[in-house]
Amino acid sequence: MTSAEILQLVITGLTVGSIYALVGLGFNLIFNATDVINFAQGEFVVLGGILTAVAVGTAGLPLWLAAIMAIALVAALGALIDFAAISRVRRGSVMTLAMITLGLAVIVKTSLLLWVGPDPLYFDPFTPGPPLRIFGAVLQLQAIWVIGVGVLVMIALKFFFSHARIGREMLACAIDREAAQLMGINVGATVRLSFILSGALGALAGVLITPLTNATYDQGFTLALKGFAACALGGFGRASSAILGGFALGLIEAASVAVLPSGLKDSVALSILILALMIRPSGLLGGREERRHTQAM
Amino acid sequence: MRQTHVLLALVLAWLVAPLLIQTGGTFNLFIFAFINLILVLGLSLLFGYAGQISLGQAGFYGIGAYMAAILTVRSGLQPVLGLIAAIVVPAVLGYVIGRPVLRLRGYYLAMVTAALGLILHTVFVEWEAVTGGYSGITGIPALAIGPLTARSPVTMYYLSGALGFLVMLMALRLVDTAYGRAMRTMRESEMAARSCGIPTARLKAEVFALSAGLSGLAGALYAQYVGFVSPESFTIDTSVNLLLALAIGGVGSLWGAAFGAFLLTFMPEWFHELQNAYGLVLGALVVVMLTLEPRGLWGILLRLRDARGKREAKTA
Repeated sequence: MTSAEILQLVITGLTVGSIYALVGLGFNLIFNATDVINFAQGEFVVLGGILTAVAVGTAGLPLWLAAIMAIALVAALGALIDFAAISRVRRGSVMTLAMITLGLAVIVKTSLLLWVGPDPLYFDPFTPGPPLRIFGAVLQLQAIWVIGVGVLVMIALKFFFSHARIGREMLACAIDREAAQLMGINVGATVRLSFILSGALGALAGVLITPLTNATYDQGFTLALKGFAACALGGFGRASSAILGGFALGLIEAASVAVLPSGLKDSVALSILILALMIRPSGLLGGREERRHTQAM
Repeated sequence: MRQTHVLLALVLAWLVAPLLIQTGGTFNLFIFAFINLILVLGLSLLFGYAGQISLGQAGFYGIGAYMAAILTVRSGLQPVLGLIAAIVVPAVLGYVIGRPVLRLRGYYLAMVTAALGLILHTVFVEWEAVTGGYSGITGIPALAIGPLTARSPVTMYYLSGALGFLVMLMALRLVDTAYGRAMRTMRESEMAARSCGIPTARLKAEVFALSAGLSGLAGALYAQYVGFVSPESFTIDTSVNLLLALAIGGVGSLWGAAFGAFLLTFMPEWFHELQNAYGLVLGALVVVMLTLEPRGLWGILLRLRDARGKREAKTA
C-alpha cells in the first residue's frame, strides 16, 4: 500500500468517523439528562437531512434557511416527543422509555416513507468546488465541514456540561432525579430541553452528512447503531469520548474496506464494538457507570 | 387452577376451529401466528422473566430457517433432522455467544445483540455459496414426521399449533419452578440473585440459549412451511417488531407475549388497506400503550380485574 493510499484511508476514516461521532453526541445529550437511550436518534438525523433536501429541492429555499428550518423542526419534534409521551410515563423503568422511543422511530420512518418514498434524497455540498488533493489523497470539501463542525460541537458540549449552569443541572437530573429536584432544579424542563437539543443536534448531523451519504428513510437504525458504537467505544456520558470513539470506528471501517469485501464493512465495525465492550464494558476511556438499566420493567 | 382451564379451552377451540375456517388464507395466518408465538415466548422468557433484552432474535430465527433449508436441500437429510438441527445449532451458538456477551447490561446488551443480528444478516447475504445470497434457497421440503407430512395448510396448522401450545405449556411450567424464580430474582437484582447463590452468568447464558433454540425452531417451521428462505425475512426490523409485539402484549407475562404474537400476525391483515402506512398504527400503539400502561395489554386486563374485585368487595 502506498503512502497516498494510507493517507486516503485515514481521511476517509476520519470523515466517516465524525459522522458517527455527531450521531453519538445526540445520544449522549439525552442520556446525560435522563439515562434514556433514544432509539429514534437515527431518525432525527435522517429527518434533518430529508427536510433540508425537500426544502432546497422542491421549495427552492437557500441552503442556510432550509438547514435552520430543518433543525428547528426536528428540535420541535424532540420537544413534542417528550411532551406527548416521555414525560407522561409515571410507572415503568428506563427500558419502558427506550421502547417508547423505538415505537417513535417506527412512526418517523413510516412517515418518511409515505412522504418522500424509498429513493435517496440529496442536495449540493455547502461549498462548491473540486475536492482538495493532499499528497495524492482526495479530501471532499464537505468532509471538512463535517469534521470541523463535529469538533466545534464537541467543544461546545464539553463546555456546556462542565461550566454552563443548565448543563450541570442536566447531569444532576440523570445522576439522581429526586436529589436534583430537592436542590431546586426543574427536572421536567431540563429533560424537555435535552430532547430539544438532541433533536437539533441530530438534525444538524443530518444536514452535514446528506451531501456525502444521501438521505434515505430507512438509514436511521444503522446510523443510530454506529453512533451508539462510537459512544460505547469511547465511553458513555462524555462528549470527547464520542468523538474519539467515532474516529476509531471510522478508521477501522475504512481499513476493513481496503482489505475485505465492502459488504462486510458494517459487520467488521460492529464486531469491533462487541469485542471492545467485552474487554472494557464501560468504554475504552472509561465512562459513567451505568446504573438503573438492568431492570426490564 | 384457572390458568390450566384457560389453556384447555384454548386447545379445544384450536382443535375445532378448522371446522369454521373456510379459507386457506386464514390457516396461513394462524400458522404464522403460532410461529410468532414461539418467537415471542422465547423473547418473553429472556427479557420479561430473566431481564436480558435482545434485539437480535431475528438472527437466531434466520439460523434456524437456514439450517432447515440447507440440511434438506443441499445435504438431502430428512426434514425432521433439519428441524432438530435448527433448534440445537442456534441454542449452542446462543450459549457460546451468550456467556461473554451477557456480562453487558441494559442498553449495551440491546445494542450488542442488535449488532449480532446485523452481522448474522450479513452472513446470510454474503455467504452465497451456502445461503444463496439475496436470492435465498428454494424448494425446501415440507416437514414430515413418520408417515405424516405437513404439506397442506391444515396439517401444518395442527403441527405448528401443537408445537406452539407445547412451548407455551413448557414456558408456563418453567416460570413456576425454582429455575423460573431464579430468573425473576436476577431480573429484579443481579446482586441479590448472586448473594442467594444463583450462578447468574450461567443462568443468563442458559436462558439466552433457550430463547435462541426456540427462535431456531420457529425458523425451521417457517422455512418448511413457506418452502423458501431469503435474508430479507431476518432483518433488524424483524427483531424490533418482536420486541414491540412483546411490549404491546405485556413484557412481564407469558399470556401477554401470546397476545403480542397474535397481534403481530393479525394486525397487518386487519389494516392491510393501509399498506405502507401500517407502521404508523404499530408505532402509535406501542407509544400509547407504554405511556398509559407499561405492562401492556396484560396490565390492562389485570387492572380491569382489580377494579372488578374492588367493586365486588364494596357491594358485598
